[in-house]
Amino acid sequence: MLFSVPPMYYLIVSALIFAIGAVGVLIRRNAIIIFMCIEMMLSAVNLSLITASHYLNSLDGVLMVFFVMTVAAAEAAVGLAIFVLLYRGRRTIKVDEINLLKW
Amino acid sequence: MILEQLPALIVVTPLILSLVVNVVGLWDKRLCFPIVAVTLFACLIWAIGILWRVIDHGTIHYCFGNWQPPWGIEYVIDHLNALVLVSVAVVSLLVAIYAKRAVDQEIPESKLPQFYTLFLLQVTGLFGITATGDMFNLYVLLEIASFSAYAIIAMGERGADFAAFRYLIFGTIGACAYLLGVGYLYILTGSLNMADLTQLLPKLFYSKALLVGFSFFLVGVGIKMGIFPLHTWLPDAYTLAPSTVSALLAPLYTKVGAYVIIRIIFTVFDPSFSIKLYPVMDILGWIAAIGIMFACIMALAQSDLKRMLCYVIVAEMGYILIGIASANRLGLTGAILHIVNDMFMMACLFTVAGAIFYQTGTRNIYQFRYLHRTMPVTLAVFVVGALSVVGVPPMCGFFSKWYLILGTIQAEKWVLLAVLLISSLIYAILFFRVIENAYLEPREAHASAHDSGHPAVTLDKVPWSMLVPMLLIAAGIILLGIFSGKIIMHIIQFAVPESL
Amino acid sequence: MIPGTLFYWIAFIFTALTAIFAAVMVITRRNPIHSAMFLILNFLCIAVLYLLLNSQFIAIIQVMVYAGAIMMLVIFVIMLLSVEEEKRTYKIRLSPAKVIGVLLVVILFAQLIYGVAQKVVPGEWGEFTPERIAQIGEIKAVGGLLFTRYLFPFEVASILLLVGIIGAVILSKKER
Repeated sequence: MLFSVPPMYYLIVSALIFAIGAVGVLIRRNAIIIFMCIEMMLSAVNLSLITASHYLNSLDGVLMVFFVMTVAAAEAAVGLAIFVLLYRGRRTIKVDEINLLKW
Repeated sequence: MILEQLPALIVVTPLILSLVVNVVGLWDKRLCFPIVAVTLFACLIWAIGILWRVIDHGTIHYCFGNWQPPWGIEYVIDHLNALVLVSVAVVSLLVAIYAKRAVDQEIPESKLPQFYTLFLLQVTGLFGITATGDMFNLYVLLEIASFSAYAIIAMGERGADFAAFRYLIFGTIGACAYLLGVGYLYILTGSLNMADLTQLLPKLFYSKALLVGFSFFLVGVGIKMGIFPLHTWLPDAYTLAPSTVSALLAPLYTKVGAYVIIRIIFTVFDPSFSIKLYPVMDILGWIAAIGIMFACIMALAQSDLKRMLCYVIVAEMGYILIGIASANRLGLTGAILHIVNDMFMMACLFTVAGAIFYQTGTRNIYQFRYLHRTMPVTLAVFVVGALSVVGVPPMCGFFSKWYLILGTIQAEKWVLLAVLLISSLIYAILFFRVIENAYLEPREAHASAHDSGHPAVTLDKVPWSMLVPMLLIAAGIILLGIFSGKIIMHIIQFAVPESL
Repeated sequence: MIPGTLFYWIAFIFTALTAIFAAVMVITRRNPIHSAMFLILNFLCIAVLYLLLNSQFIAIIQVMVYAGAIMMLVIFVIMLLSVEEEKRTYKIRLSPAKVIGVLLVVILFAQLIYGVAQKVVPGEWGEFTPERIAQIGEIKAVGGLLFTRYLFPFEVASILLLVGIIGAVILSKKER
């Protein structure tokens, strides 16, 4: 006898993807890949919200994800505009010369 | 009645006018500035109206479209919101007036309408964050404020684009963390209305998941407000941004973050959660102590005035954390008062830095020689701000620092007390270095000073439209100091939760 | 509506593993285009997970907005700027900041799992059961909520898009 997938598993998948994205932000030097990692983290959060919404029988999570996607879209617009600006100035979008983690 | 609609008006007015600015700007660019000024003036009136109502009638509950919570989005405005709203309104209005000349110099004319639109949207976001009573709504508004900040910071001088990019990465990670926190609260309670959560959460205080959610909130808001280990985006972003933008963002954005953290720790979660149940306050205290010392030492090492002030902001956020970490009435009073005072002090110092840059094109404090001859009034304003940050009595900075010190004494946190005192000394050195460079003539130049033609004494070379807002901010610093007793008695006293 | 439980499990495990695999590939590829492709795969897998969670509306939006619009924009920018591959480096350059950062992420992940493992979801108490949603239609239910209870955030989201547009315009406009 099998039981249906418990919410915990979805949440673990979401946490894994979130953590992988965070590692990517820290170890990669290519700005556009860092940006993609951020989008991945946002969508991982969405997964946990939808899971909650499903198991709570409530639609609020769905609505929240709807808004988070709006945020992600606006962020893509602003973020990619900054890339174009960066690239115009120096022909590179590797971040190691600015070093993301300096004090 | 218009009075009942004020909580909505304060967000909706700058929002609609930001669209109008953009459209009108296509037709005539000179109209942008007056519209922005009038809008922010209207917002100031709404904010004062709100504060007046709150003082008279107590907390305002405002439901959008008359949908009662938990079904609708509710704005709850108590003394804390109202106070922060008024300070944001005052500072943003003064900075907007100050901005006129600096913007004309630094921003290309073709981008003016869009710049002012983002300026207004930034202020809209800050008003919204302060006024909203819903955790998820706060996330969306936080992102509005952040996105407009990324965009207008990236318009700064060379290197600002990288700074904005780093800010974008850090800011989004912070927002993600905050959103995860929201997700946890939603999973646990099914509600995101702050007032509801206050009722629902105490039953769940022993759940470990709640602790995880809480720590995500702290990390998320911590990145946004630039608390010590998470501040790394701040110095670059605020130094390289156009001087108007740093004069707007540096005082307001981080301080609104501090408001959010107070709201989360003391309203959404009951204070007992972070005082009795978990050692949150001790951890925050240590972070604040290390952060202040770190930021002070970094500030001493800078020769760029704006970058030095950026590290001062990091230290000031540590001060507010110390007030929170004392976890008693005196400490929290100090923290809230310090939010307001710091808005004015940072606005003062950053506008002066912007004015000096506008006039001389330098921010290096070792090139400030003879500045007191060409811009004495500007430097006088700087001295007022500097004395206030150091904590000299008639200025407002002294009073909030006094409450913070009393708070640490009452909480018997001697390390924090020591940090407060030592950092004040370092501040004194820090600002004296600037003042010395600006006022005192260099020794080797002294002999030849009389025959070589160094600039004659003038009233002030900085234009009036910049000088007047700066003087008003300086007056505000002194007035806040004089009336701080009244502010505490009539407003802050009610903003501190009763259980403390 | 939900197919047999065994099929459900197989679909879940397969999609979840693919999503995690794609996520790992995103952060390890040297060529940004490859990363972008794997990210699209990741988004599609998450869309399938949304379907398994019975929320078709969000699954479609996920494909349209994330995999479609946002990734389209990203790939467009990569192509436009002709971002080159990173040079292969055999040594991983370790800086203390990176080590601390990765450690922090590990702590964060442990914390997440710790939080998740508490079996937090308290049970079904909302009003929108799968049957009810199937009866009125998910899009209708979402639309109803969007224009009543979530009207204000909806308006706020429109400002957010405005900020995005104006931010993009102001940054990419050539100075005259």
